[in-house]
Amino acid sequence: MSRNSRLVTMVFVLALLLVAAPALANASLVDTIQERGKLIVGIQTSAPLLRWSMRKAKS
Amino acid sequence: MVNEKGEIVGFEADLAKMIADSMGVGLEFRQLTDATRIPMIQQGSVDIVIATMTHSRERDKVVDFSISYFWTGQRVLVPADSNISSIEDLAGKRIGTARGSTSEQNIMAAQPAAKILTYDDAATAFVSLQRGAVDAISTDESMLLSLRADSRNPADWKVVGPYFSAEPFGIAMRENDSRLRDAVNFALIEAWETGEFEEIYNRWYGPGTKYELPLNFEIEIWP
Repeated sequence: MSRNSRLVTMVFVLALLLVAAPALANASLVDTIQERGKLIVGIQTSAPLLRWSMRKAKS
Repeated sequence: MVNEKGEIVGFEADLAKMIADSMGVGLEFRQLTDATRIPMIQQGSVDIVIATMTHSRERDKVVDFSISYFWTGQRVLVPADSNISSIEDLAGKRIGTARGSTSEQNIMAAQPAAKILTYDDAATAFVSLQRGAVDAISTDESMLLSLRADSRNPADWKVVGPYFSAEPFGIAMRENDSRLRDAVNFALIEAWETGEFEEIYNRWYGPGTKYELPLNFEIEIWP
């Protein structure tokens, strides 16, 4: 690749980053959630452990 | 908690459903422990975490939180025949609590003379109490009441002592996602204004319920 070609490539990449940066900065999980069609929620549940403890207590 | 059909149900599960409905999407639950709550957000395994998670300044450095949706405080659960009745009585005793929780930090600060044993979550700590491996467990009052109510014989256990910490629960999510935080906060505020929040609360903690804990707080409302 010639020096001029490298320069053109660098300018192109920089221009692309300048255009994409604001869009990336505004990216929100809300869009992903809407596209996916569901909200993924982390939650705790104690019931299986309690059932295990009850089985242990009975045995 | 999990019902007899294997479905995840409860106050927080219903809040999650309300938020998903408000966003017009479906809902998927992923189970986690106290210690995996923040890593799962950071890794993108979950969008939000609704899991009795205290909104602390330390946690706020790495994840963001919604407005608080529940206020409670930390207490102690012991066998009904125990002579432990306050935090002072725990000096030299073995106390179980959840690893990576604010409860762990609070109990260490409140009773430095106790021996603290940590578990994956409060339920596992309660199993340890049932087996006699610890003398008491300590976490948020709401969790202690749930553990006692769900045990084989609730009369075998008692929650003792006053609150020794303030625990405002928030919904955690990744840092710097303003639109997501707005979506969650607006859903909570609108649910409060329409009465849906109180309806959900009373379904699980209202008069005559297994976990009875009167609604004695208001969430932050923005006009």
